[in-house]
Amino acid sequence: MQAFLVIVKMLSIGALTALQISVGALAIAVCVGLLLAITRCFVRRRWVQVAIAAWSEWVRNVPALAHLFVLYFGLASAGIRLSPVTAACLGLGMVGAAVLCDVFTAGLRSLHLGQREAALSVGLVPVQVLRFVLLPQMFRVTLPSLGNYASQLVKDTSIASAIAVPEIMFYARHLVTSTFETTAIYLGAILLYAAIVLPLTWLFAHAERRLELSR
Amino acid sequence: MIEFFSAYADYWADWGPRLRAAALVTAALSVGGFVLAVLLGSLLTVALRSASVWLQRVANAYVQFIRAVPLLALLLAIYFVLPGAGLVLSGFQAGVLGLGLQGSAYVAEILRGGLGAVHKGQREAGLTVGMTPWQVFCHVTAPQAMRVMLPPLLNAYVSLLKDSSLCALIATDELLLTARAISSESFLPLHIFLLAGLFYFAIAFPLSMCSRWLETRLRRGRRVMGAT
Amino acid sequence: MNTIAPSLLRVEGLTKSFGSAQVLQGISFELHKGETLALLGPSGSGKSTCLRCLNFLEKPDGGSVTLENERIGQLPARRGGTRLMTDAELAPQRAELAMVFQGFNLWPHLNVRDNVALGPIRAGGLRKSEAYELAEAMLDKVHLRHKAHDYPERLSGGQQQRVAIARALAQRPKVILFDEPTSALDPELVNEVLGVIKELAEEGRSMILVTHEIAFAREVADRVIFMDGGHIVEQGTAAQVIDCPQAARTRAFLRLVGNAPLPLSA
Repeated sequence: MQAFLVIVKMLSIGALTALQISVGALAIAVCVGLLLAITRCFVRRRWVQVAIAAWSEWVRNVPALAHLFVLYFGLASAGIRLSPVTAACLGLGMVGAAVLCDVFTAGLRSLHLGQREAALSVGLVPVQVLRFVLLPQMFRVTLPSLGNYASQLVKDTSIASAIAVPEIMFYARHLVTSTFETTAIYLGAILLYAAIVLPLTWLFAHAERRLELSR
Repeated sequence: MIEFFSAYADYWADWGPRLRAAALVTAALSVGGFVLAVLLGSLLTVALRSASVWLQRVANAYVQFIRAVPLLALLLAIYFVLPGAGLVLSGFQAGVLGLGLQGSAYVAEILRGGLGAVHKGQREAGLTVGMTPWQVFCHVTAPQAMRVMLPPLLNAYVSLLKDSSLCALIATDELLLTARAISSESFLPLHIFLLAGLFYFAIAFPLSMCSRWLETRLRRGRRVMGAT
Repeated sequence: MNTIAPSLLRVEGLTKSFGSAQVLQGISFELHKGETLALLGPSGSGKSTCLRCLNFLEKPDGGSVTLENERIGQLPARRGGTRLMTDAELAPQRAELAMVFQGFNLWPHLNVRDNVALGPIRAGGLRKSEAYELAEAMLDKVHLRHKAHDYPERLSGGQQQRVAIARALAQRPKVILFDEPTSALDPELVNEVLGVIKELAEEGRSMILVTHEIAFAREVADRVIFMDGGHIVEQGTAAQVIDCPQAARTRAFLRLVGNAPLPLSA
């Protein structure tokens, strides 16, 4: 019984770290992704488009684990030592920024051109057009994709165990070596992830439905 | 700057063959996982579209569950927990199984979308012409569904390819584990991990581009060919 | 409507190409204060493009637009000549030239009142309470005050377009530009919008109206310009151009669209 309590306690601590990384990475992903999407949609310079596309392709066609290794081990050898949690936030945030950049770009481009024209003709400056007309609509349209991304992010924090971040899988593997309750531990870990991700999915589904009804 | 690239020249003789061998393992992992995912996914789709409500519920529960659990947890569970129940799988085998199980949920969604995109009238036309349902499926529904499903299937494979990197954590000698081993020997982590990334990129990028190109081409074709 | 009315908007030598197609080939005309000017012509004549060049939603390749001695859309360039204004620089000028679009372009995430009030608050600097009062007054003008808290998707096409007109009025513009305001409406909803436009014309608003409704143009416009192939073919009073057109192309067009239906009863 003792062992089970220890397992639950350690895994829960791991869950908090996982959530911490999720929030950090999400913040980076949304801010950077949004900035890149706005740049991609409204800045017409060729080199800017190419740069964003190149960066996005590199980030999205290389495994997240490889990115984490580069940030954690690679930069350390070049003199920049990041803590495991920071490296995980940056790495997952970077991957998220590339994903959300695509999501937000598609969202912005799906908006009718007339929306922007009407806003401009009423006398709003471009920043106001974004803030009051385009972005509110874009967030509504991209909410499902955002929800998918958020759920995936929580699951992806498990990768961070490979760079010694004390989250759920990290504790799981160490608990196995100390208590040998392999089945209970991994089952517990799986249930713990389900317990976080499923409500998150339902929350987003509920938010989407409410958004539809209110209009 | 040049010193950075000179390291590659120095070590390529050692790294090259090892990475190439590892890349083959990665390819085998991802292809194996993908084939399993398509097989299981097809079964799932049949279950999801079946008349039996019970079968639908089971399939749905499976999909929900798989989508709520990280791949790493799945892989570790298969690799470490199953031996307790008598089934000992190698890292590679566990990897293919885990990738296949997770991939099946996504493939099922893709297949469902593809089949749903075929206009109902197409099937009806096939039946009235005298074909059996199976013939209609083979000659009418499936070819049209394929056009819609091909790009997302390519994307699913690319995802699987990237996810195969997690098998490094269950002792499979794929690209990233090999890169990790090399990095601890040579103390050049930045070089080796960027190089490993490049290997993945070299396979994934062309496939992603292909998928995107197919998508625009197929969309154009559909509007011309489109029924109502 | 008298001929001594001061010139309000002057357009000189407007040219515009899209790729190899030259859509505007040197358009010049004037709008006087209190005048309603109708732009007629077949599809592809360039009338919508011309209108959209006035508030620089399309950037003209050449020519100039001047509103009460203020040059629209262009600033003196550092090395002589002129350069185009950015959207941020154009904002105050665009606020004086309100536009009503064919597709209404109401903002779906805001209710009717907020649609009308957004411009006055953010571009006009009004306080929220003042802006809401203004919005409700404008909605009253288009007979839709009772819909202030509804969302655009709940409204019919005719109602949405009237809200769009209220939104344009809330800018307190010098000129209102109408880009085929009824072309996207079901026939039975056209009259409610035309009725509002007629009321505005009778109030003495300065308006430019691009439309296919020839009978309506005849009734409401002071002057009519007929465009074809990027040129102004003929201009004059509504009676002159529509009843007794001089140019062959004008006559052919008017004959093609048939005898204009009876004028509005409202």
